[in-house]
Amino acid sequence: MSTFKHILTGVKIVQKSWPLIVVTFAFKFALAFLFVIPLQNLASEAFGYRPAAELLLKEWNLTPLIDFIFNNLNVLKQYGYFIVVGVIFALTLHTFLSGGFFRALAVAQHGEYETLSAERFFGWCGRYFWKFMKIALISAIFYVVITFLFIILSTLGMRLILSDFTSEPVRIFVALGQLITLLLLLLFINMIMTYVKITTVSDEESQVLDTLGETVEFFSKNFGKALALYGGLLIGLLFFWGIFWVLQMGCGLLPTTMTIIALFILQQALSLTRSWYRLVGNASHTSLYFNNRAIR
Amino acid sequence: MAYWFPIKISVTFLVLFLFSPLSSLGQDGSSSSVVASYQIDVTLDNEKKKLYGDELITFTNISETSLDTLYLHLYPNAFRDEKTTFMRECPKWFRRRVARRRKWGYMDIGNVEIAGGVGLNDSIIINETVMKVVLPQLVPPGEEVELCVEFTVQLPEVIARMGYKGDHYSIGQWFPKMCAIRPDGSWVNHQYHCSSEFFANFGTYDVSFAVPEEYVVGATGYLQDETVDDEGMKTVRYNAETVHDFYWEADPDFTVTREVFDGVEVSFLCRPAHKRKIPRVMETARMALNYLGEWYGSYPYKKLVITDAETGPGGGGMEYPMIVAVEFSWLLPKSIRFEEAVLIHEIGHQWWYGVVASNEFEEAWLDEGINTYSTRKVLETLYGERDNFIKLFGLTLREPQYERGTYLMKPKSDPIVKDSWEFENFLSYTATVYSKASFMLETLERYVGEDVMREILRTYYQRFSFRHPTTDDFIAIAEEVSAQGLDWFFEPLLYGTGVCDYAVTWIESRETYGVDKGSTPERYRTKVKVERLGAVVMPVGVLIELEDGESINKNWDGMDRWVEFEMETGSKIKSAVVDPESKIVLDVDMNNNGMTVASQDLALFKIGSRLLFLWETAIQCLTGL
Repeated sequence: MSTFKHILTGVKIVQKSWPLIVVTFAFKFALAFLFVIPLQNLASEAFGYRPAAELLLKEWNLTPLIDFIFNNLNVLKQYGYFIVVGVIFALTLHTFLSGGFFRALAVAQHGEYETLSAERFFGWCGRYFWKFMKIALISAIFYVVITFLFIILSTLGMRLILSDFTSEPVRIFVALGQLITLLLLLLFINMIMTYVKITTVSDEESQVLDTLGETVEFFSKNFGKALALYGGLLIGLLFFWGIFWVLQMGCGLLPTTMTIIALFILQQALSLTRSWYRLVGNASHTSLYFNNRAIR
Repeated sequence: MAYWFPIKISVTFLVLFLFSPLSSLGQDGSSSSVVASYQIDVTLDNEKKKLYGDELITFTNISETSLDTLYLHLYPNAFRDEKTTFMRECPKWFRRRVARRRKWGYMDIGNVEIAGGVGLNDSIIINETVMKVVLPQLVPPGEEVELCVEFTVQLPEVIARMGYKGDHYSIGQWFPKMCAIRPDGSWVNHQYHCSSEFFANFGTYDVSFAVPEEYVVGATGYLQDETVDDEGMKTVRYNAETVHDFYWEADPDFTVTREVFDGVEVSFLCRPAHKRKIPRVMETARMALNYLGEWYGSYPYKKLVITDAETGPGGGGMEYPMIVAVEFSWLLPKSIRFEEAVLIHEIGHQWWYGVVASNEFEEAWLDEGINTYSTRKVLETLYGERDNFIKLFGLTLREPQYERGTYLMKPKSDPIVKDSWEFENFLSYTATVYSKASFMLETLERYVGEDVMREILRTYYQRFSFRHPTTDDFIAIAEEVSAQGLDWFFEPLLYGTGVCDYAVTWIESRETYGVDKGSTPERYRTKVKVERLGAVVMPVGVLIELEDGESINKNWDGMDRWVEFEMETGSKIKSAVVDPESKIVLDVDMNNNGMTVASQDLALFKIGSRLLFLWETAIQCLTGL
């Protein structure tokens, strides 16, 4: 099957599993509000009946914002801690839900259910939670180790190869190249870990470390296909984001009330699209996996 | 009053002064500009990154007392190791970054003698960056002494705008330099501190330096001659009169662009990577010279050199007489005017440091504060008020907003007038001496008017050209020109740590009914409460706006902690604003300066919506991994 066909299969599977979109959307919506509302309240306290807000709004005059930040530094620090704790909580919740998502998409590949019940979904979430937690921890370790190794090795390498270079543009381009390479490496790890998750839900008996081995084996035979699919999905994602970004820029031209409404609708449309697209991505990878895995 | 008036003028000085092209700039004939003059011969060892030099210092005792001791600065010793005063006081990140490189610098002193042969090697005591020389006999007031000093400088890899980077050399504060002397015979002989710059008396500099032939050099002063020997060393000789420092910079890859603006030859020594910046740099320099000259008084030299420097940690830009060093970046686009701002700032120092040479050790605001204010004026005139600092992807930032961010980080840690190294830390020094001081002047401008403010600075410049004014001198001139006492303004801001913060804390309108008590209120009882939340007192105006469009202006001397304005009005209050003309730029929270009856939540929701959009995008990027 071609990359495009896997994406099409993904779209069909997600159509059947539409409640998953609702769960993903609700998750993102709740998180966004959880994080933004304290800040909104703080700003309301500072600007609620203050004409300074007009300056910020109409002229993008940053002085009120600068004053707001520096006169609320302590509260904003606390908000920063709240964000850190919130992100950890969100990632944990995300890990918990991921088991349900991947299992539901895997089951849907075989057409084993007509409609997805909450009971089955959350049952899978619970069943795979610990395994997915391990995968999340391994991913985090990989990200950190690869980042450090990359920085150390690339810096040493550059010093050896280009020991005499002092040209500023060359230094900047080298740094830019390093950054892009690192990003690609991290995306590559992300791709591998996506398949580890799929392998985990498709083989209930195996342990996480075994699934790592199976994933490596899968990649050794299907690396090109997986990369093409991952790349294709990434380009699609950038395309979606681009469209929404342009649309939200356009919202600034509307009157205030209309802007608020338009932005809110746009945000939710973006969130919904992103939820759908993310599920399509996972379903496409699942499709690729089931069509190409070694039969034992 | 001036910092000092010399009691006696030596013959040498008189001759130098009378024949100097700058002699006409002496205002009252009593300002002894030339105190310490130097003849220096130095050779650069490109391999070892060392300077080998000897100098003849002619020092005139302009104090009222006989001197038995001289003090000299040995600034390069600040970079000897991690334990020096300079390094210990620097922020941790700075120390680590410098220490990691292990390319330290220092100055070794060789033979020291009185010209004519009296050796002084046993009479010198070196304490880090200050050398004490005990003289064999007293130098009476008005007399001069000539000192010969041999020295070697190991250049560090560039730190705080001094040293080498590859083949590039930024050579500042590189020779044994006389400490400044006060009229009472006391010395300004401070160590080189992390948060301080320099201070020296004026003098004549005759400097020859030998560098490899391929090097292109820029320096303080006017080129006298240039020769190349058989070993491929080029010797250049520069002469500068009535300056208080000498800087030079050398790089084999410099290209030189020269233009003459109103009789001043401006040279830009540019490295290959930054060639595309040449038109921007030349235009900025031209405009800066033009505006600063027009506003405050003409640039007194015939030459200005701009160098494309390697300034290293703690760098950015640096000023020296007739030459400024700015670090340019290949990456920065036109829409970020950081480099223009630095260049204008350093050129501004030609006025506030170069010519009006205040004590940067003890009263740094006099050059940095005034110059930051002047830089802002030039930026606003050149690029407008709205986006004179950054204009990128719809985001705009004004220079005062950038300074405000710094100011609000440390608005009340230290008074403006304080020894530089006594500030809480480097951030507090920057926030106070640059940002707060410039906002103080901006506030003064809004109280006395722009024309009067310009006249204050113009008078200050002209009266103290080639002299060493103090804070008291500045205040005296401000009072004289504005024809009003300004103690109430300067005292708390310069010597206190209080902040200025006015706020409208309550507004209301209550219906009042006539005798018949009909259903329609006849009048409204309107109240506005304004509070002074900070310690600094300033008179302020209060603007009250009513729903029917009527505006009521009130004034408050600001002496009490709060005031309540109560009045009968024909309609309900709509809003009240304290300091409606935003005169008090120093106000630490301008958001609380106004209050409206109607909620501003709609505006907030709009901002919040955008914030939410950004947040969701960020979260989706994160969960995408």
